[in-house]
Amino acid sequence: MPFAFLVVLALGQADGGAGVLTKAPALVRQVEARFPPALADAGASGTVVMELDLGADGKVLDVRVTTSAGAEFDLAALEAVRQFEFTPAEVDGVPAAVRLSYSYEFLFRPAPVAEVPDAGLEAVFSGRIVERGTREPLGGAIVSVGGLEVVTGDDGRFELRGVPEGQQQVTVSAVDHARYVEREDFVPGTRTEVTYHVRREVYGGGETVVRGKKERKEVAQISLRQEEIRLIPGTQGDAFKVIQNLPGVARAPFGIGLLVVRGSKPWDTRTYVDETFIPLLFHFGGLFATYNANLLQDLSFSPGSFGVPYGRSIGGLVEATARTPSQKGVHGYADVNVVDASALVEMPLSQSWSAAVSVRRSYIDILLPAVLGAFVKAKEALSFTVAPRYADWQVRAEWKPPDARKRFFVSYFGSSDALKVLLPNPALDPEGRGEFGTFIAYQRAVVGLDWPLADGVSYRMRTSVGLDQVRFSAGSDLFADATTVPVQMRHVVTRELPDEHLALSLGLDVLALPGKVSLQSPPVFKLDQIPDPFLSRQLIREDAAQSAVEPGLFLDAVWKPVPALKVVSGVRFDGDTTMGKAWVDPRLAVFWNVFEPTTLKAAAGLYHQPPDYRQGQLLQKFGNPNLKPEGARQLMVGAEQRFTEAISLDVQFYYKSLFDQSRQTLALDSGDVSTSATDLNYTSTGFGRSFGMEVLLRHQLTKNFFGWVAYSLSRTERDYFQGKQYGPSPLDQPHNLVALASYKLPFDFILGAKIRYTSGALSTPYVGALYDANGNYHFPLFGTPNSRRLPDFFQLDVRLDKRFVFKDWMLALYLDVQNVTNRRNVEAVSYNYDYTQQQYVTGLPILPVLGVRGEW
Amino acid sequence: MKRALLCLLLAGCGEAFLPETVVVDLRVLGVKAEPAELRPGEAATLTALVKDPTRSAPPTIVWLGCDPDPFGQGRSACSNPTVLQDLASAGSSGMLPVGVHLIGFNDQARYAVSKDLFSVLPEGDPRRLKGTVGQVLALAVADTVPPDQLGEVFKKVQSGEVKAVVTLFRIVVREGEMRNTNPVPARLLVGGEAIAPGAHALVKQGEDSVVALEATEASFEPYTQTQPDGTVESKTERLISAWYSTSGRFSQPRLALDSDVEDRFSPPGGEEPKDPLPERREGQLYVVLRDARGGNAFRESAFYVCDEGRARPVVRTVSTPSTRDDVVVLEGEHLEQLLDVVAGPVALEQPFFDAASGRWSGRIPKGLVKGEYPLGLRGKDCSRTSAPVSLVVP
Repeated sequence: MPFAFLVVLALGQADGGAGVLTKAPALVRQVEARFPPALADAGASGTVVMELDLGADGKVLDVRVTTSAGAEFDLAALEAVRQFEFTPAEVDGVPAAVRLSYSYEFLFRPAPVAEVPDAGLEAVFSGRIVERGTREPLGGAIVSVGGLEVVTGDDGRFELRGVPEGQQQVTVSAVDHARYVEREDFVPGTRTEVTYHVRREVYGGGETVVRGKKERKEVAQISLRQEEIRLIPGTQGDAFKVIQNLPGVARAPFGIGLLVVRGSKPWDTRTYVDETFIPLLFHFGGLFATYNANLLQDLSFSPGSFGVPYGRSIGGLVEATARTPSQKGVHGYADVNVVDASALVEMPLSQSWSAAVSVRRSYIDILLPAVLGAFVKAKEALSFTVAPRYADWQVRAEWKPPDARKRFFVSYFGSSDALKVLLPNPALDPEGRGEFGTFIAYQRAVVGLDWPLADGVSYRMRTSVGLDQVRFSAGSDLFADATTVPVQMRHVVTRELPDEHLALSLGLDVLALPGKVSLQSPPVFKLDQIPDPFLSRQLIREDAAQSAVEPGLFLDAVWKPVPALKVVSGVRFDGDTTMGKAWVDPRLAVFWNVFEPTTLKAAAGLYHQPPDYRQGQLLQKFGNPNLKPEGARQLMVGAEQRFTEAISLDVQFYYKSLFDQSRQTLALDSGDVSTSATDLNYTSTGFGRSFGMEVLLRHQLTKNFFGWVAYSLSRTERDYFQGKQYGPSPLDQPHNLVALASYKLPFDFILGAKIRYTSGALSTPYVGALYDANGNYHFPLFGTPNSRRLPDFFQLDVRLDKRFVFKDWMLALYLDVQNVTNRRNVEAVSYNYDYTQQQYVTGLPILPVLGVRGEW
Repeated sequence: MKRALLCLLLAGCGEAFLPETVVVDLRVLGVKAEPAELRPGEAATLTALVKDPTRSAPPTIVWLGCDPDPFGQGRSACSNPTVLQDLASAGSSGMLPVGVHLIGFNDQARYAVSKDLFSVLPEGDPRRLKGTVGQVLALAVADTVPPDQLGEVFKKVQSGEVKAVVTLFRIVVREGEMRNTNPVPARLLVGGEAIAPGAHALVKQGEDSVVALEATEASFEPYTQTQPDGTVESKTERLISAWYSTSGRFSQPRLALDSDVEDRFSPPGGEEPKDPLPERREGQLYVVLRDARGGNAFRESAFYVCDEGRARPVVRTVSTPSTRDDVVVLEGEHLEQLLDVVAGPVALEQPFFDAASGRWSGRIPKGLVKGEYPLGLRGKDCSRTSAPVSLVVP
């Protein structure tokens, strides 16, 4: 009697494309192989390993034997497998062609004694196979009893008729799961209904991987999977924090959540969730992202040279895609750690609809005042009327018919950070302002649609409406208050022309930012001007109703004239009504698959973005509405080499020149005060450049291991000395090395470690100080900008996860220890009151974070 | 503890610096103009509170003035860091930057404003009422330099061979009727006790004392301020005190006079290991009062860390001076432990104890008017007693 089981393996693709398997193919039609009679007589056994190419429709396109068990077994296995049918696999949520490895095991067993079937009195055995802990249905599992076998369906259900009478051993076999054995009594004429909870071999990581044929269009894109993200030490499982460990991303001072990509200021890098721009990536200080990483399907990061579908940024690009909520049962988790608590619930609503709700709330506002109050006299302590608190929430409902390439979703998500501090002794401020507050919040309601219009033509739409609120205040008379209702529309039609080896995408990408801003503050002093306390009291106010519209239109073409060559080219048109400017950005990327495992790549492109309007740079009184869009020219060449199915190397060199950068103006040199000055607060005269090399040696997530080594060698320079020459940028970080690995140990332990080494931050030394007798403080006199480099940074983080698997739920304990060596890393320099003494400010000491998480 | 907690919450911290309030070498603590505010065509006398505990001789100060910016845009060579970095070099070569003038030396300094300052603005221009600032630089060096060798001051600042402090001070210049004046300090309170001018503040080792400075009621001047929306708001000045001492620590380096927060002075020799008891148990307290509109005032007082283990001074007799210039002589026991003799509102000046005769003597302060005053005795043992007889001032 032959016996077979399915194994899905990671396989490379000819075009080097990478995607994430979001739905494994399930076997829906299994044809039993003919056991070669001669071999049966001889009692022989054997295992044939084959490679199957499945089409996007799940049909077997091609089968090859990779490990032979002899010609007769091979032939029998090939005959059977060619007749198999699978459900379509999905890569990144879209049905895709995949390649599988399939083992067919011929195991000779004596044929059972034939019994006369009695249809009226047969024993029926039915039930459902689910995974222990997650209750996820196990499709494709094989249930064996009394010489009978059946493969479970997608929903994990099975039914066997004619089971032999009496007590029988039941065996369940499934890929990546421990063999399950049970004994059942079968009585003719009765149905035995069971639910078996089968244990996964290893929890908390390594599932099987299929790298699908998702079209790869970005030359410098790195994609991460949910399972990888969860295991990276020092990130608390937060997807967006993982980005800070990738090549091209500098470490921000104190490890706060600023993305400094290839030397660009944080404003130059934009983050999108479901193609919707989100204005705030991290809560206070970079503790956690404002979007729950557990709802993500995948996360991609491009440090530069990205294609025309995205504009309005000259630095990097972060794209997160939310996943379809569970269509197989009610699932969720609750997580409690030292700073916040979060929970997620997801469930199917019907065969095609499913929904998810998650929420997170910090409790720093409850703990911090109590802690401070216990140690510090009330009148001297910082008094929080609203202590630091943050919250975020996500709701998503999605319609996605099984095995269809269309979907529709509605999601609503948002984030809120607030803080209000009351100083009991506001003597530093002559006006006695002792109350300081911040409030930053955003909300987005998104509607998305993926719809095949015709054969080879698809349509994708994302439309969102949001509410952004930013409020800063000091006392009652200094404030910045901005409210924006961003409306974003993205419509993309893609037409595939197989005969021309061409795919064309035409996209409309419009961002409207209606809103109002009220700003009342002292006048803007020049960059090198000593603030005048008397001028500071002459407040300026600007109330502006904004109606900025940033229309964008792009045409993207992917052309593969020969299988080894792919050209991605496009052009993007953008504009901004506030500045009254429009621009055109052409971009080109080329992939050349020189050999099967080697791909060369190159890209060139033009990028523009509006100046940082959040800082008021486009305001009439505080900025300059006539600024130009900031620009960048980006060039990149590189190569990708795949050594094994799991190990790859990506090396790239880049050069980025910055022009028309917004920069604050400098004070006048001379003491000539005979005429009124008319100089502006900002001008578009800044320039800079960044160049370097990035290396990523990566081991993809397999059953037990994943990890990577990322190294960036870079140089970033900006204009200094009144724009006359280049000087090192404050964001320059020549060396940045991250090595991380995670390994699954027995008994559901997972151990991970991360090492980070970077060059020290740059700082500007002070050459003296001037005592301001009116303001009663010392104003430092600056030396050469960014001419001193602080000591290098090194940190080792370790994470240990332990999972307890119960029948219907799991309990995970994790210990995430940052800075295990307790190294005193230098983050900044502090000075005494007159800048004659200085000392290093060091970062966090060893910091263990213990968390508990229940999943069901 | 607060610091440790904040370090834990925010980031790691290094060793603490010496607090700003501790004066250990040359410091400019405040500058005052009289009058505090100018009209075009007027001039102000400038004085600075400059202290250097390392030297007995006073520091040298060179005063420089810059032309006010009539447009009120804050432009001035005196406040341009690029110019200031080269100021010493320019001064030592005798070539001051454009718009910078020499206006005084040591305690003789005057800043004058041209009568035509606002002539570049039309009559009725609101900028005339809003005003501008005249900017002054005071270069103080911890050395004694003769007036005829001004270039030496710049050279010493440039070379860094002695400590130097460059101070920027602004004087409001505008038109209009209302004029800001300097605040007037009233009582200096230490541990709830008003310290008579010339007397020591008595503090105990290891025991904090609440310190406070009072100002006359007229010092809290009313004024109007035009808001950005054009509304005129009536306000009353806030007076902020800034405290300094040659040793010891303050809980609040700065404090508004109307604040309900207490400022506590921890005398030297307490828990802070870097703040030992001075050899003579003495030190100086300084307080600078600012009204945030350009008005400034200073006050200083000596303090003494008393010792209850010492003998208590007892006065038996007090001489009666026949003229104001006569020395007042006290006789009794343990008069070497007598710190201050307070006659009415002030302490006797030039106190001296003659160990040979066991007598204590002092002089009548100039401000003390004719009359009979009870004598308060303040001992180094922390005692506060009275003499059995009064002092008759002729």
